[in-house]
Amino acid sequence: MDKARLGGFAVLLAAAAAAGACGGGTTTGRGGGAKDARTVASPRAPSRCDAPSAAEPIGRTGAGATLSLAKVDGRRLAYVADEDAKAILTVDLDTRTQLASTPLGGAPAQVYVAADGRVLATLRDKSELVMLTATEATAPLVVRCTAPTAPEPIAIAASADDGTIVVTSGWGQRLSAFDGRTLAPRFEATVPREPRSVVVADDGKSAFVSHAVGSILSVVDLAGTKHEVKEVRLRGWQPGQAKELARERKRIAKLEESDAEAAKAALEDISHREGRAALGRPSCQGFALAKSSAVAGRIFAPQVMVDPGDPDERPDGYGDENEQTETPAVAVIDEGAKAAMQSSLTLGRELQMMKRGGEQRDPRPECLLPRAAAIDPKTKSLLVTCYGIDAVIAYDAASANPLTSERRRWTVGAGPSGIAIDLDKHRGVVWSQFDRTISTFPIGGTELVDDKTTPPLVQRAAMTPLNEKMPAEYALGRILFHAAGDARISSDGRACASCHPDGRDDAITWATPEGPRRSIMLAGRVSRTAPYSWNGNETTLHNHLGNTFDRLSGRGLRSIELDALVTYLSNMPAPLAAPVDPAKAERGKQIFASPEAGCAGCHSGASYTDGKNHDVSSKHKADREASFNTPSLHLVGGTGPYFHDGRYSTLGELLKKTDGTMGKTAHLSAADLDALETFLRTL
Amino acid sequence: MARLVLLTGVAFAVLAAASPASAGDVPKYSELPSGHLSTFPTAKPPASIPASEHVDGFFVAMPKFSPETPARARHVSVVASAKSAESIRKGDSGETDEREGATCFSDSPMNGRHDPDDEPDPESSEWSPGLRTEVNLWPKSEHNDSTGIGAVHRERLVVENGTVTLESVDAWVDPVTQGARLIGRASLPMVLVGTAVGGVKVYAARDERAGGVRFAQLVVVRPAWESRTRGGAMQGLRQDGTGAHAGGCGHLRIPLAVVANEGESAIVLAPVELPSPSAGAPAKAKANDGPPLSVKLQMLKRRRPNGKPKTAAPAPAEQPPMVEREARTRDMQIHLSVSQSSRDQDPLLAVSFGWAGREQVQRVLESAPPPSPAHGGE
Repeated sequence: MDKARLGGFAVLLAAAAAAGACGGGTTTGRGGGAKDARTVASPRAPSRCDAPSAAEPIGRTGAGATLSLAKVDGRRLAYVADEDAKAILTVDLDTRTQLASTPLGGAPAQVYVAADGRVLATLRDKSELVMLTATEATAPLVVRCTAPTAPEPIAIAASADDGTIVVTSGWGQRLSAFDGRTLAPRFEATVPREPRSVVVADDGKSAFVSHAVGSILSVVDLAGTKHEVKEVRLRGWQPGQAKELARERKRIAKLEESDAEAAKAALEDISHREGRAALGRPSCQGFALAKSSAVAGRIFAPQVMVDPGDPDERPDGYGDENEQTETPAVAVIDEGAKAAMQSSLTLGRELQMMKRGGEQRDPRPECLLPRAAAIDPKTKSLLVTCYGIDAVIAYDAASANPLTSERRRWTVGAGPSGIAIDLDKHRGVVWSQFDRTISTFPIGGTELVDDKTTPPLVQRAAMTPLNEKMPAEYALGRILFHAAGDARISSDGRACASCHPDGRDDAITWATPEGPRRSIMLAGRVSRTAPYSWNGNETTLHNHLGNTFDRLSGRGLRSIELDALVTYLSNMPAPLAAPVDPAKAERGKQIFASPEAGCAGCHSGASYTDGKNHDVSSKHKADREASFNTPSLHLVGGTGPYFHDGRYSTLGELLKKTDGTMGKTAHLSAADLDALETFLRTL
Repeated sequence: MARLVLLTGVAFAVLAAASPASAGDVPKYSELPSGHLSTFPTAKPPASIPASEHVDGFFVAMPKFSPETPARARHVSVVASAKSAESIRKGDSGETDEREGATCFSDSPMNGRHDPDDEPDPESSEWSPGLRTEVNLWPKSEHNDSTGIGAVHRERLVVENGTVTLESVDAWVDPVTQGARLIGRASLPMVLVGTAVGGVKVYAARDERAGGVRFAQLVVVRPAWESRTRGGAMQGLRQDGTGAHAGGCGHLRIPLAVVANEGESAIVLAPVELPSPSAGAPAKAKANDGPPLSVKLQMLKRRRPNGKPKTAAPAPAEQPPMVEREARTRDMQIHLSVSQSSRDQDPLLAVSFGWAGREQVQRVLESAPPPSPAHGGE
């Protein structure tokens, strides 16, 4: 996808808005009347989108996944978004054999079978939404039409009548709505960083969007004209902590009426006692959402709660060595109230402590990299796939805190990125991207099964080998990057992907032996950016990784494995840059290069770094050193908050507040500052 | 013999008959039978209770103390039977009886830190779910507010003619006179909402109070076999950190408040015995399939000097014959929850079962099962 085309699309949207056809004028939504502009701009005639399809969806989830089930010619099929093959695979569920492959010329992220049998897919690396139809089970699907999307489209969901299709764009930070019949664009809403999964409320009036980072879930208004975005906080609490804090705050509020000084003192006391704990634990890994009429009014959002440690302290590793740094959770979102049930955000550590140790210890690893979810309506079970431990875990979806209600788990292929329920046969179907296998297993009832006498039955089948074989080192590196519960990587189960979901950063500032440190984005940024670490202490990636494993108390990898991991890190695909106003970006480029601004002095070269350390007066009180290695500006637009300790939440704030210590911006007009920021977003 | 792990014939039958769990169709909250349990009294205790006053089911006994024990340290115990009271008076160890239908006591409110400045907490007057077979009371001491006449809560799961009721009786007990005075009685009809392997059962009821305060009362029971000896007592923890335990008595009860747009949950850990393919038949020891080392060491200690532990032991005339068999135990995690989203007209009750630990294998001596008719026993 070339930038010019995306830029052109943005201009068309802006033109439609300017024509007054939309009633927009909102800071959160775009368009609304952009339909005409998109119809004109569409590269394919809308009528082609309307072609009939022989597929009949199995079940109705209203949301896409990396696999979606359908019946064609009486055969039960899975359409699989195979990002490595850059194709949709057609798999016979009963024989677990690949019947066909539909090449797409781009990596599909999700696939969705609409009620009329048409198949939708997002092409993550082409920024396109594709509509396909089925003719027969053994034939490839036929591409009927496409529509451009914001950069990196990932998840698909539909309104109850499939009249509106919504798509999240990870790097583009958008929720885009399309006409379900023609794929004509309807509107775009700007959402926070790294949106991933999406589901549409039963009434079709809002969409719920999960985020891989940021401790939030977004609720986007689909019905109004402004398409406002509400953020639902997803932060974890110790048992009883949220209730106690709420109680104390109420008491203080009451006290304020009679004795403001006493109230202030009480508030300070709380802050002193609770510190950062009063904010709750941040969360990330929001890759999946699930909803079902079986547990109506609830949306399930598997997460991981993170304790990054006190940034004012310098622990021995990444985070507080005395605390569990990562705790899985399944947030239950009240669809009507558009809020999370606090009960589902309660950390389960005390519950875990009840369990006995020694020989009776529960050996099952935790789900620290949840990736997909589906609900089995028969048993009201929430099934979550977990990277790293390659498992599917069934929780009680009727629970106020599903995480503590694990019923059963199944081991599936490596990298289970998607799950679907074949309700007629009451089986789970899982697509595992890393080993390209389909796993099926009977879900069974809700009874507690003695797995010694009745071991879980999982049938697994590999798909046809790739035409262009993936380098073995890269494939192994990908598995190692996502290895959770692996003592070679860490002692507490953390994987590389825990702090770098999808190769990005977790937007969290960790307490480290050097001081507070933001995780950094890796995908597309690792090669040519040596030396490594915020202080530039490591000249090679191999050494830097070895040091990282030490700090995670991991045993370390063998050299062949380390080579593989370095290969993977160095070749992770970078996301496509977001479209921008070319004139504004050009003006920003001039400012960037100007001696007055002084940006290019340090941020030089192809990777926008001179590789040297500089003191820009950013030393935090817990920092050992005052000078920091110039970070590459590649992909800087999507990786906030900024600086080594995350002190600036936006690029705009950074540019203003670093005046005089890191270049000069005070002399710039608001328009020039905007232009400079625009340029930075193109890097 | 006291160190031997015994399995009663009755319990064995219960275990054998235990059906697989059937938690799939948990009733809706509104479908649960309704009643109420008593709450912690808000009235001040009486100044004194004459020794002549008694309450059925409250047996007060003072253990034997040495003459040096000061009066303020001489507690009385409240137990459920005259036999237990007599054992306490004699200085014998108290009996415990963890089985469906046994009696449990509590003597404190669940939320003892209630601040009068806070908004009323519906749980502040709930009896603590820390249940046990006896409670102790100390004579009044000016240095300790919690001494003197105290409120004691007694509850028992009554299973009769296919109906299940949680009966509760509250009484003031005077540790000086050993007299007891009735505060009130309550009855909560319950329904079975889940069963699991190992004979575990979960009952539930609606407990609805004045002012719209609602609870789901959930009671967990398991067979009376000696699992507590092998695996420990049942214990529970609500997500707010409030603990609950069976303390050796008949059941474990978890109250969960029903709150609009919110939820409450708890887990219960219950060590259970798993059905064994060789259940009932004398086990043949395998060289590589034995119990963990720690258990083996215990077994060695348990073996009689004649060195023939696997054969049926020559039983005393009044005791049934003993056999040795392999017992598989595992910690079960029982999840309990009630929640109500803004769209739920009826709160959603959830009961589910999972595993909380690895399977353990032990060799135990137990009463031989009675001969079956098929083998010509009759």
